[in-house]
Amino acid sequence: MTPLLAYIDAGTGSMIIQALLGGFAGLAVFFKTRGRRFFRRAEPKASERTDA
Amino acid sequence: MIPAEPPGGSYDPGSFRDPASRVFFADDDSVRRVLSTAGASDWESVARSEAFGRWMAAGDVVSTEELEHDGLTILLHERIPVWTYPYEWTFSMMQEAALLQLRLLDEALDEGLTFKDATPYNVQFWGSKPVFIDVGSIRPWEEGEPWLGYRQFCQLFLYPLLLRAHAATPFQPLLRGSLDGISAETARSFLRGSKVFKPGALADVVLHARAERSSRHRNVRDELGSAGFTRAMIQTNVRRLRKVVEKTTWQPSDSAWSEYAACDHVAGGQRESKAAFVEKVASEQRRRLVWDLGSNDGHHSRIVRSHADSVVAVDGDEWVLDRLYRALRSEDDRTITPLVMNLADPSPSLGWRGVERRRLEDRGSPDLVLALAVIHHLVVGANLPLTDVVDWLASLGAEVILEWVPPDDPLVVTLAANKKAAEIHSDYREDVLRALLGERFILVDEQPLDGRVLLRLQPLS
Repeated sequence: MTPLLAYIDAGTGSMIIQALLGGFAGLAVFFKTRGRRFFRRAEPKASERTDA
Repeated sequence: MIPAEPPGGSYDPGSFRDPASRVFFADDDSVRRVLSTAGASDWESVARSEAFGRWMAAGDVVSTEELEHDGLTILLHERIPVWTYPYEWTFSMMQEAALLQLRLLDEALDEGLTFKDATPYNVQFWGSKPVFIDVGSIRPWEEGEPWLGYRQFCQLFLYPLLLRAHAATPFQPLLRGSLDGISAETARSFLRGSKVFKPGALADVVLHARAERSSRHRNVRDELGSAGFTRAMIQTNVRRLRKVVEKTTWQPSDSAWSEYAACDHVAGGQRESKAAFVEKVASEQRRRLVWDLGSNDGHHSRIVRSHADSVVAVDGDEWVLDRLYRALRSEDDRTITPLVMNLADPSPSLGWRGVERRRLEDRGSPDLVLALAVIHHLVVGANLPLTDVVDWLASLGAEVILEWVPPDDPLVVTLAANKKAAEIHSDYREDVLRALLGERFILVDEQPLDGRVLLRLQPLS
């Protein structure tokens, strides 16, 4: 993907949640990106990620 | 790259965040925008789109034409006569601006365009009509990209509306206190208990706050793109938000409303003679900009309207101004712009280097100022010295219609009810006022008004 021109902080959580709010197709994207993680209190440590 | 100096003129001190586009005021006082190479390429796509022409024709987006200057792409924008900021808007003004931003984004996406940001500072009001002014914010949508402005939309449009509607919290002091707006976390702290079931609260506040807390610093943009994020998903979200914003309404408590209805400017017996005096002065010549200070329901703004290009109706009472705004909007008024501001605590210069957002006096000089039934609020209510108030009026360099409200007027007595005599400036007297005015103005005309008096004043210099 080409680098996008963005000068505001879109917010990681704010982007993930858009998949949740994007209808049924969005839900699939949400779970594909493992967005369900955000239901946890904190981001898992890098060492815990196997697919990062 | 944007040049360090604009080609003639000076950069708007509030336009610097976007590396692709910057607004400047040219030597001929026109409003122009210089684009970087990337910005110019985006603009090509925007200018070609069917939507952009439609928006300009409808007045939804500021009129814009392209100029060439030594290989630079320069855009010339129509000048919006009155400049206001979101922390000076009423609830309905914020709502109209939010709906404009959402509709433009939805229509842009239909044509493969998107907006880089979503801030109410990109909207101005032409009279009562919201106009989108940041043409540099529009660019082609990139495959897989989410709406980058969603967070900003929530912080600066949606949360202010939700807090006003559901938590009885005026958004103006919050937005004035932080130009970035209200964070999801802060909004969450206002919307507790059953309020989380109000439209938008659960998804855009509670879940959003949770998402922001727990997912930081991931390259989620690329992840979403690879997972097949589409622009239809943005549109689903945007259309949902349009419904949320439309459904969010604000009704103040009964007591606030009855207080307003009992005010003398609504029922007062001198309403007609006061109006006739204002009409006489206003009709003598056409004014470019009129300030109606303490405008209340806009009665005098409406009288002046047919003799002026623009009128700013300033009052500290958001509810009264909101009613005025909704009436003006339904008339499609293009002259009167309401502005919520306490004159004793006016909008300061704000932001980066203190110049990003300007005080009202620095946004255009009025040529006529109405200060009707307002002086007692400043001197008796807010304890500003009379000399300071007269000095400030004179500093505007405009013709003034001033209504003197004597200390024994029932309204002044009410204002002073909780103050001891020694706690009120003792110079609040008509003879003192006349002496102060005599040093700074020429008294052109006056009219007694049942104990009060209307004074028509022209600045000395």
